[in-house]
Amino acid sequence: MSEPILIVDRAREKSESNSAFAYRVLRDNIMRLRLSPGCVLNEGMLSAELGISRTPVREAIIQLKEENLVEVNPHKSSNVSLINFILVHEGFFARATVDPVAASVVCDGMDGGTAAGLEANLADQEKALRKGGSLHRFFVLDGLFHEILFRAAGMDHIWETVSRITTHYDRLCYFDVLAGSSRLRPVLKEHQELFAALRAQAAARLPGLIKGHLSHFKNLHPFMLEEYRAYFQDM
Amino acid sequence: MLVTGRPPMRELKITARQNDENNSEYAYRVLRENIMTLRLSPGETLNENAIAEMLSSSRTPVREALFKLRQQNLVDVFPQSASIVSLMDLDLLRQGVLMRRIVESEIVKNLCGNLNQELIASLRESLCLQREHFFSPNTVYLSTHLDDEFHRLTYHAARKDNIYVFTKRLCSHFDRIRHLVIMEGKMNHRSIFAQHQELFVRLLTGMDKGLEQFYQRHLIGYESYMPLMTGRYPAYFKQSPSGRDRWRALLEPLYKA
Repeated sequence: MSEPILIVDRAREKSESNSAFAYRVLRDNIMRLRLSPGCVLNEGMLSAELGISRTPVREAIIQLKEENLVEVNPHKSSNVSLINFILVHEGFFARATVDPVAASVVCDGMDGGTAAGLEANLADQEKALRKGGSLHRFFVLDGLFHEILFRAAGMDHIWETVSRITTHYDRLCYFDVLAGSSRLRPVLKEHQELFAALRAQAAARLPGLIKGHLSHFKNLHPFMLEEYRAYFQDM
Repeated sequence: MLVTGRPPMRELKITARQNDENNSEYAYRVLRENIMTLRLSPGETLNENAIAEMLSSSRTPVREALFKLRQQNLVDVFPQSASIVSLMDLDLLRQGVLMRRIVESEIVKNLCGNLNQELIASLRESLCLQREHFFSPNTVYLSTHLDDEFHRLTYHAARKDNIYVFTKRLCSHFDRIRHLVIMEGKMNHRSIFAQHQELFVRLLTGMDKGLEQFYQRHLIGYESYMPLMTGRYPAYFKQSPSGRDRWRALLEPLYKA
């Protein structure tokens, strides 16, 4: 067999069904651009690599198609979708609208468990940006940071829904990981500021902090976008 | 496992296949319609073989459809066991309403003072249809469809079609309860229609104050009938709240806006 294509972050858990496993690994590889926008998905190869049959792979692909991450072509082959700027902006709109609500609910009264969870998460983010750390790990922790806030606000299903709306936005944000730690340090700093504002119950500071935090993709370097132009639908 | 004595699955209401639909899309659409209109009631067991037979298809498309419905919280699958139509979950209802309130009020706020002729025309046309169909009996499907369509127009005008799709999915439990309320004759279409007219006027004049409160009123106007619904159909609900106070407590976070 040829070189493995997929990165498997976490080994398969006992409770995880074949299709849940296939979905998790494929989605993760698409989001980290390992399966790059536009690349063809070969069901046979993927199922061989994951060591499962083709049915769960097909189920995962159906689900990824629902989330606009995969396009299934009329002649039955499928490929990872190119990044579409209209969807990027819809994703940004969803986050920019919903995040402040979750933050303001948490700001009203953050429980000890949430505070401890966020603090531990921030410490891990710092570690990920140190020498020898993993920038990809930072990206994962970034998502987790916001998920903790949504959960604490009683908005877990809303987080799931928003994650399905932001599939193109999130992939564009991953360009910061490709660009290196200098673009991620400000992100860490903003997470720390957000946490401090929540802790101080400084609700007035939240909207500005969140808007700026979510807008990083707007100042990606044009040269970089040019370098990856094959990843985009309209470039 | 106890399977004996379970009644056979209800006949599905089968609509004609549309031209561009493949087997799996067809199975998905028919099953979803049957679940959303409560013909397949919450808690009902889904038998893959029986469904495949009713749709004259193989089991694979049925399984794919069930898989998709599971992603939308409309079907629950228990390991080594059958699938059932999910029970109505009040937490999902709450989060669906909250999402719509947040997103739609922001969309409409952005549209206020930023209208185009196409949106005005399509909203007006939709209101005419509503006036015609909202108040006649036996038009459950039509009235929910017209209601949905009216709101979809605002998402579309703001180029937020993808957000509409996913927000609508999150609202699947909210929409089932809405259907139940209509079936029980408790939906106040007059007030819904008046609120749609209000929304139209707000868009025209750019009156964007209090939009969140507007949506709050609009989305759960039938909230006072919920104790009645949960009392009459306790088996449909994941947790059966008894009485108005329990309802208040569950929906409390919504009132904080």
